[in-house]
Amino acid sequence: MKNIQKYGLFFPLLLLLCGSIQGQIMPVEVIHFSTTPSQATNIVIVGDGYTLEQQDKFIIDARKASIEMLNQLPWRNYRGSINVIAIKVVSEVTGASRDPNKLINNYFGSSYWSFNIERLLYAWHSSKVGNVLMSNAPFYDIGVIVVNDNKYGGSGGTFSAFSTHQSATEIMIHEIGHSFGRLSDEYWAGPQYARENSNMTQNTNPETVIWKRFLNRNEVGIYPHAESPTWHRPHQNCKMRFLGPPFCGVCSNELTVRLQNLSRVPPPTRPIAFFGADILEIEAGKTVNFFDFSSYAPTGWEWEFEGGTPKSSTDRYPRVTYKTAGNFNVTLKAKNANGENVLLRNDFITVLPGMGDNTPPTIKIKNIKVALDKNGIATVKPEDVDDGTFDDVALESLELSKTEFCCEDHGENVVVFKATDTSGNTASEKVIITVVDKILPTPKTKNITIQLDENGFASLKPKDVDDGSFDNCSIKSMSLSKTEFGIGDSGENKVIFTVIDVCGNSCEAEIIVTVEIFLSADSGNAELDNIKLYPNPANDLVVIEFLQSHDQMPQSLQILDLNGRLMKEVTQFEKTGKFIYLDVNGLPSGQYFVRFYNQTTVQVLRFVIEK
Amino acid sequence: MKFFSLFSFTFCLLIFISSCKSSREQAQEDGSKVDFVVQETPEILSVNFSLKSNDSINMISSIKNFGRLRGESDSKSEPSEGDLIISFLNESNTVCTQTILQNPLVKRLEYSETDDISTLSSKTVELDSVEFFVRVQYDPCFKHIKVGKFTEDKIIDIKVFRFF
Repeated sequence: MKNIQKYGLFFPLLLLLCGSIQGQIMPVEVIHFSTTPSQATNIVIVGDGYTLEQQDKFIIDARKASIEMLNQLPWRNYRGSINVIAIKVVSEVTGASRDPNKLINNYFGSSYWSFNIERLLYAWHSSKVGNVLMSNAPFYDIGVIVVNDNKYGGSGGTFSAFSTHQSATEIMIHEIGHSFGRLSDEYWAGPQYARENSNMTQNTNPETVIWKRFLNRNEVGIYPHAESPTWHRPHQNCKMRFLGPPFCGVCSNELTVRLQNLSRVPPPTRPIAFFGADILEIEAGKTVNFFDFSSYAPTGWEWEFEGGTPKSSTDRYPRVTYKTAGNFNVTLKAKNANGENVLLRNDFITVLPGMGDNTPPTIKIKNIKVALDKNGIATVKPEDVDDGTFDDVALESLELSKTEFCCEDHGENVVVFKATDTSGNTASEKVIITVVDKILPTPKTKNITIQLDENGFASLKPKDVDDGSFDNCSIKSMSLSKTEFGIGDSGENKVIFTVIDVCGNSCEAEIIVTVEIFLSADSGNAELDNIKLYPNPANDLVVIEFLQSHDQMPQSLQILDLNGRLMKEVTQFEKTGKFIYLDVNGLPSGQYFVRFYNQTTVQVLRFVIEK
Repeated sequence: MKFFSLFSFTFCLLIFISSCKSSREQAQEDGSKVDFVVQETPEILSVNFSLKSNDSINMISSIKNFGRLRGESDSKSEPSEGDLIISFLNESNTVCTQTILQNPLVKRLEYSETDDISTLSSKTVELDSVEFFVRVQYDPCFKHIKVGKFTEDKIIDIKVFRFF
């Protein structure tokens, strides 16, 4: 038992030793991604003094620093060709040491008071920085270290370091001016640093000074250093002299040249596949976001995820869920017109047994309207009503109880939205899908000619003029603005044909209804119950006898020929008598009609004149 | 005796844990690449050294990964007093690639000395020992690494490392 206690003290210590020399494949996060790394300036940020629980803070700090930098010229003008990637380096302890002789167990050995200078924050394990960058972002152009400590401090060198103090980012930007722009300081750093450079010279001749093309613009001149007047700087207030102000035109140009150089499109070549992921060790059921970092402009991606769901993907940035414990390989084939390249990372993802997930997804949905198409169909996907449904682990699927809608579903439909997570937990909620029909019915009509009946009337029905009207759903009704025609409608009549579909949409068309007053030989009788005409055939006189009461006497009468033409109209006759005598002497032989008009009816008799 | 037992246990445990390191990590430390590649792909090589002021130098580790170096070389065009010349040699000791590094033992440091955090100061310190690295485009011809030091206008060889 005693031995166990003793060994118990040693074992964590040994684990700690082992942990400090673990492999350097680490999770990454994209802070700002513009384009394939071969056509960009790739800034890679690593954190020091961030524990596992502080990795979210690291990403926030890295994002803040990069935003601050990318908002300044000349970086701002090249945002579209700058990538910023953060590598999540886990330290055992928070912050930086205050004594470089007593380094704390952060990852890169960052310490204030380096070289006996309080604010000199220096990463003493600088070779580890190179290894981490090489392992996770070998394409890096600029490497920087953000140290999780609020005390103001920083340092330059191959990799500039800066603390999370609000003003420390300026140190980073200044130091990148040295390391990336190869710029000199514009404050007097000492004679040992004085050398001819793009922003430092002993040449005072405006015609030949190295920054001559910037002279007298934006306060660029040839300013002597007060401490050593034989040396000169181009500006009095440049970021290479003071932290805070922008880079002067000369320094900005130097940085711009390098940014342009790195964003240049290289000659066509096949890609170099490379990728990272936001987490490398997960519990079963959790999801990993993969990032493509392939160089030389890949246009296609073929991923394979051993043990993952999905097992493969052609997305550039796939999300993969791992359900079972184990170590899993990931393969990426990056392709472009010049060829392809494959990268296999062995045991890239480690999945630990899950702790059990009993929490169902949280549903966020929205009611929607969908329009029927020309075939009267509307299709809805779960994503259409999803408004941010999420799960504490990962969603497996989203479903709708009904996805196909037709004309009969016009109006509001209550549908069940169901979400299932990777552990099989489900949640469901009702959502209203309103089906609308925005497509109007299409009227197809034909003009028509109608004839009045023996009573001088004609009726028209919509189907008489319909010539195949249609709708994406179906037609509910058709109507006409005028359906009854009489003698007064003789000739062309404009009539509105209206068609309404089952969803209430309507459309109109104008048609021409031609009314012909045409009386056929069959349409008149030689004798009616109450009226008698004789002689028939007649010669020059026709007698019309009203057999019943005087009430039947017409108000007027017309004689029409077989084509309906008015041959004679008689209004002057004795309205109280029983007989009307018509002189037809002037009419040629043939068939004729006598039409009687009274207040309510029209009656027609047919007779023949023979000469 | 008890101490001996404890020491033995600890020693064995250390060896066991050391052997638990992933093959990937071991591969890094002995100079092979991190990832398995299916086809020939350009690689970048980074070699870490430790240097002492008595010119004692050791290669700590090396790491290769896929990619192509771009932009301006980190190498100086001409060496100055104390600079290192790192040469990557082939089997017959012919230079495949060479890079000139500013003396890594001499560090220029920039810092804020006063409470006015807008101003910086510079200081040069000479270190007793330092870790540094070189990053070059890998060439399969690399078999040895020769480190030389530029002193009194001539290059003095410090050490040759067998690379593979």
